[in-house]
Amino acid sequence: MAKFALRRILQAIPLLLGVAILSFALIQFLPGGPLTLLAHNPHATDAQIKQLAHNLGLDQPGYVQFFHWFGGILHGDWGTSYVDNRPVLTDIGERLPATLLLMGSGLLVSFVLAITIGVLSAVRPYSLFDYGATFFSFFGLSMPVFWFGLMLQLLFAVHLGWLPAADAYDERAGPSFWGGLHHLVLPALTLGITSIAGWSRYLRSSLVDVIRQDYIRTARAKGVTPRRVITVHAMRNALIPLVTVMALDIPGYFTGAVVVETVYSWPGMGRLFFDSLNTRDYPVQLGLLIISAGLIVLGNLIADLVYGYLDPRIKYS
Amino acid sequence: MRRRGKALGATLLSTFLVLSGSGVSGWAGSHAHAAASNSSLLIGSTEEPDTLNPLISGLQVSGDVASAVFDTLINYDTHNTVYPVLATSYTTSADGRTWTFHLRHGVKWADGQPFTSADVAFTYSSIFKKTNKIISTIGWDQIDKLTTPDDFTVVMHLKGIFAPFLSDVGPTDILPKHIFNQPGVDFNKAAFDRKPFGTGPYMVSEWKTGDHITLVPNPYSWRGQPHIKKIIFKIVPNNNTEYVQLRTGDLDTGSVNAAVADEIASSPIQGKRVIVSDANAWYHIDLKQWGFLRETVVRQALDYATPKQALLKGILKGHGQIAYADLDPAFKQFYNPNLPTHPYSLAKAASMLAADGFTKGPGGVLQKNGQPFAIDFWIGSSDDNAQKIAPILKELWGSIGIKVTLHSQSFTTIFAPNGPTYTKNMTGIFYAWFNGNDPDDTTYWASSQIPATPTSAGNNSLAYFYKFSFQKQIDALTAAGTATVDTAKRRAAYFQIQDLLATQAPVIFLFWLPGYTVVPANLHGIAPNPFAHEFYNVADWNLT
Repeated sequence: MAKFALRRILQAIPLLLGVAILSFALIQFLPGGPLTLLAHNPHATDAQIKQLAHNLGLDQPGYVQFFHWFGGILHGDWGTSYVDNRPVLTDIGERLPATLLLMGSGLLVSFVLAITIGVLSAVRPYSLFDYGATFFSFFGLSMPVFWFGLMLQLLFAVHLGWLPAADAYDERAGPSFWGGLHHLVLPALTLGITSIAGWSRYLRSSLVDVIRQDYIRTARAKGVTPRRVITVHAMRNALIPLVTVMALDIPGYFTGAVVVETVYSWPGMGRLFFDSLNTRDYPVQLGLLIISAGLIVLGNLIADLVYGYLDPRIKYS
Repeated sequence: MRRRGKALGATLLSTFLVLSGSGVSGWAGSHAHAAASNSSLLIGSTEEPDTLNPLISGLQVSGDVASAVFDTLINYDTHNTVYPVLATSYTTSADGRTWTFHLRHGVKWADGQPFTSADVAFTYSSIFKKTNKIISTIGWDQIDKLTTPDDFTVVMHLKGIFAPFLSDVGPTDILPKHIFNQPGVDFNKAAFDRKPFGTGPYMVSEWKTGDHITLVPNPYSWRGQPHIKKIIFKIVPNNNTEYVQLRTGDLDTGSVNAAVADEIASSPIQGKRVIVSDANAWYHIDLKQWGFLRETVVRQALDYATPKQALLKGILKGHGQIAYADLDPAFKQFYNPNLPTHPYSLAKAASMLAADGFTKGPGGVLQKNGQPFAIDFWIGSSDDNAQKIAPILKELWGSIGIKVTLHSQSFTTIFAPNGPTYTKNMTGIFYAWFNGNDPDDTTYWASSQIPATPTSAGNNSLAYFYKFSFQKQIDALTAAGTATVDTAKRRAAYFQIQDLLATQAPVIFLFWLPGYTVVPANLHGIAPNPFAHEFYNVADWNLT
């Protein structure tokens, strides 16, 4: 398995290189640039703009800029933000923990709720609960995440006053464990909503198939408790397709974080990406694109590895 | 004059929340905090500074935060009247070319070091140091020689007469020489630039990027200790989140747009009030000098076809004033109250265009010389006003045969070298230009301000393809306005400029925009000022 993992990691290198080239080229095609707004500042002269363009290396041909940037990455230098003049890795590093916390919580919430809803739906198919879960799933899959976020803010923060509307912690009180948890509920739920809806449907249909199998009937016939039949015998097989979907969904959490962090004023990488798009902060944008590409590769790798663990019939070659 | 587009940055959700909230009665707000007190004030902003060294930032928000930290020689109050800050007085020579500033005694930097004229001289030399990424040299570049005869006197000898000198140089933040002169300090990246202190009432104790900037009192402030013990400048990603947090009490203060202000008027936030102030910003539609838009009569017809009064009432809910030219009515010394107007009349517009040779072509679209009259409207995606006004104008102008196509984009895209500013189409772009505290408007109209290329500096991009038909007149008038310090002569020049602009309609002047600031009901001393940065009088703020 280690050999398989290593080979997949090596395969990822040309893939990431391709992503780097493509991202760099696409960003060059974006209308406007880091100095576009400055050109409309009455205080900035032509000479100053040219000097700044020179300082940032923007006056060089695209391929020279690419090699300069990519060479830097290979040496651990991801460049300097055009906006705040700080190293890109400092900017990203500061935001990374908040995003990881949000993504981790979102995944956890999704996992727990999706399994609960999926199992309950599968054991009582076509019951009132199942119909309710089906409705909820279609609702969750079809509504825009930002709208859902706004509705949660409106309901739980503004109208009911149960939960804070935004931020990672209360600015007046300062960071604390319970305060952080309190602030995490709405963004994590918003981030996880699509997955809860999708995963619970996957699990339901997979479990419904599995519990009709002969070995489940056998387990029941020999007197195994219904709970044990589901949790031990049925779940292990039913989870296999779901795990693949889950692992492949992980990068989607990064994309989702862009919207969720913007709605909830969460100081993470998603917001950094959104801001860097607006300011055309190329080095930060590129850094985040590379990281999200890395996440996709990692998600795929995890899917393959976990798949093999759950189903010993699958052999790595 | 300062110039910038309307708030850029986060634009994700537009007015959705406002719409969804309207009609819902009884905002609970049970999560709301207790009444704001002097222990802390949380201020929301959708924009974040890039640096807090005000000399190397082009962002308004950087200047705003810096205004709590640094002092200027003089500043301007809400009536655009000069008041002393670090300079207790100043004199000018009879020929207007020598300015002498007398500095305040006993002022200390927040680390206890004394403030002297050497700091002013250092600020001047920093502005012209080539390696420093200075954004503006305007005003300071008029100085031929700066001398400091003693610790409390600064003398500036000018190269010639430059009327806006005081309004450009006076409100420049003065930096501490002893910090930047330390070995190894890079003016552009100094740690100080992220955690600065000055002679102002506050100093920065923490800046967490993308989250907040904390301001605490400067222990050596010459004004004495400010009332509010901690100010947290909270960066919020979009207007809707800011609005929700103002509702829930997670924010005490924040600027909101007209739609939100209207929502608050119908459903007040407990413990808060809205201050409506003059933003000194003229909202308008840029008409690029291309195609039919080069003809004065065509632009005048479009001006007639724009129902400004109805839009002011319907969209801005009556706040603000109709603009006829580029000087705010608050500028009483220079504002021309007797300008020619083009009152709304679609019939008049249609007959003017018919008289100019336009005829109805296929699909009812006006045409002349075989070319249809089709205009692209470009709207900044964060510009809530234009999102509502543009479709109305499309409908109205369409009814007299002018085909309007709407586009919404970020300002970064609109300003781009390959954006609509430089395409060979007839375009109307919605902008709000924020004026400074001098009537000088060279930057908007003069031929010297026409960008040489789409990537060059220069604000008169309207005349990029073709100069205005009245270019020579406006060049002469803008030059005359800055070449004298005689107020009567300046007034005459700016009266003529306003008359020329109101007649020629190089843009469709719409409104003088109001600014709306939500503040705690018990916050006293705050007075939003279009002529100074946000925290210009923060030492007077008091939550009682």
